[in-house]
Amino acid sequence: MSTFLDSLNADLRKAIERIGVTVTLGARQKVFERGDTGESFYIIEKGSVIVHDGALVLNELAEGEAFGEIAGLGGMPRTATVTATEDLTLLRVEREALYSVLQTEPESLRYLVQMLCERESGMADRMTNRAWRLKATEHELEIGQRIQAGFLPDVLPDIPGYEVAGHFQAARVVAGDFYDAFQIPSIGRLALVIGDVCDKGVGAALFMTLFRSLIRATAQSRRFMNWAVDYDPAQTIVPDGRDRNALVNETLANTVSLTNNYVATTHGKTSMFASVFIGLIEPTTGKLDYVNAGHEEAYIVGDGGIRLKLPPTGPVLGIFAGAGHEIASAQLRAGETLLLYTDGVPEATSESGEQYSEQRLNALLDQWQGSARELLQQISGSVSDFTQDARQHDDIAMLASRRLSV
Amino acid sequence: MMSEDLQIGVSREEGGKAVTIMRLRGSLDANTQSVLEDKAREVIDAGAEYLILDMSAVDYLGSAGMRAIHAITNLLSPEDPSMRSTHLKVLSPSAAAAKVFKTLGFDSFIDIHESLDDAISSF
Repeated sequence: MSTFLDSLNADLRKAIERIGVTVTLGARQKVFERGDTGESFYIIEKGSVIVHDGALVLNELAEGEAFGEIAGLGGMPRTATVTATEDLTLLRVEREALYSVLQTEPESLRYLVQMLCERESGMADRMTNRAWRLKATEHELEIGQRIQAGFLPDVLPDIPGYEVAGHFQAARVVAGDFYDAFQIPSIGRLALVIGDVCDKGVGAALFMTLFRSLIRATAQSRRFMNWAVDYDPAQTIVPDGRDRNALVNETLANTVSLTNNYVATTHGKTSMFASVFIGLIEPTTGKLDYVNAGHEEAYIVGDGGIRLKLPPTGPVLGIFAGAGHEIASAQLRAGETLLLYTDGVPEATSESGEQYSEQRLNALLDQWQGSARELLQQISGSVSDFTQDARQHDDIAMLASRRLSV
Repeated sequence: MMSEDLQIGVSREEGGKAVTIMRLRGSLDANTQSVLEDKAREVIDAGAEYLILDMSAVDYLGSAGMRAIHAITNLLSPEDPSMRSTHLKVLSPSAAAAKVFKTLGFDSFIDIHESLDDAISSF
């Protein structure tokens, strides 16, 4: 590729070398910064520079190449920062000095315009290429988004006496949060799950699909392995001779330990983990057995606000192989709602940097009466009113299950 | 109002074992986790074997920040599968950071100390 100096005609090159001032800089010194005003452009006599915006490197330039003409000739602020990558010798050409030369040598002016247009043409080509690459990446992300949507339940369980509602709002195209709700007929339980994979974006989304699938597959393993037994609420002993409550505890323990140990031993080096709440409800009695693996407190909400908070019973899943998780129990009374949510709710941030906070969520719940769906709509609306136009920082997921009054 | 960035100061204490102390100031989240991870990688590459993270001035700790802390324990003792972090300790976490340690269950994996002397002599 011919450099700027090589491409100049002899007269203009001679003139530029005459009016230019030699400047020397050391490695890592800045020539100018984005936003600076400037009256000159530069030609590299010896050494090299990077053109960048913070950590993003836009171009690398070597001997004979020119930069800084946008501010130097056009008078606009510098559009990027230029930093020496090694000892650097520059020829600095002042705008007014160059214009004086051009007044006496009109042929050179024609030549300079031609050269600037060639540079602009090259930049336009690069921008077009980048735009196409960006579009291809966006297309891939859209495919990922559609596939990920399939990892949330498309239909929530319809169980007599219960109402189940979910809410999901990704901060980026793909997300690390998830919720799930499904029946486990072999043990006669309704499973309610919420999870939050650390971090955001594509990495978190890949792990979201892994965690969600392991949890659902293990919890329903009897069904997937064809030993499903029909649930009869009157029967406390299942056909293989065991007590149903023991099977519920076994299901919870297996689900948590298999998911945790599988991810920790297979993917432990990535340090990716998820906080997860897994609850199993016995529909006729409202008994809830659960494991809270490093997740936000779940709430049991009645007419008077939060009656019970369900704090963690063990650490997050996916990095601590062999970690123990206690199984705890609570009662969902008629008319009460189990509310599960991810930290995207209390940590939703307004433009002034203030967080929505658990206090605001608790205050809303104190005042609330209605269906599970309405509850999630009301929380989501309250969060949006609070954050206004601020960019959503984190994924938001909520799952609510209301035990209807008889 | 949370700060949007993370500053890290590094010093060394030469006792029985050479301990490197990283003092964090600001927000440790998805946007700044790489700042901590890169700095830790730099001091570990330069020979640091024992690290103390002073988290007294961390005003926000997100799960992505916790991911970075776990990644550093992996760098310090890659073949140690134990449930305890033996080469990284945490000093005086702010209330906000301490709450996240407790919720996520990291407090049973990483020792938390309230005095620098205790943290240094714990290695």
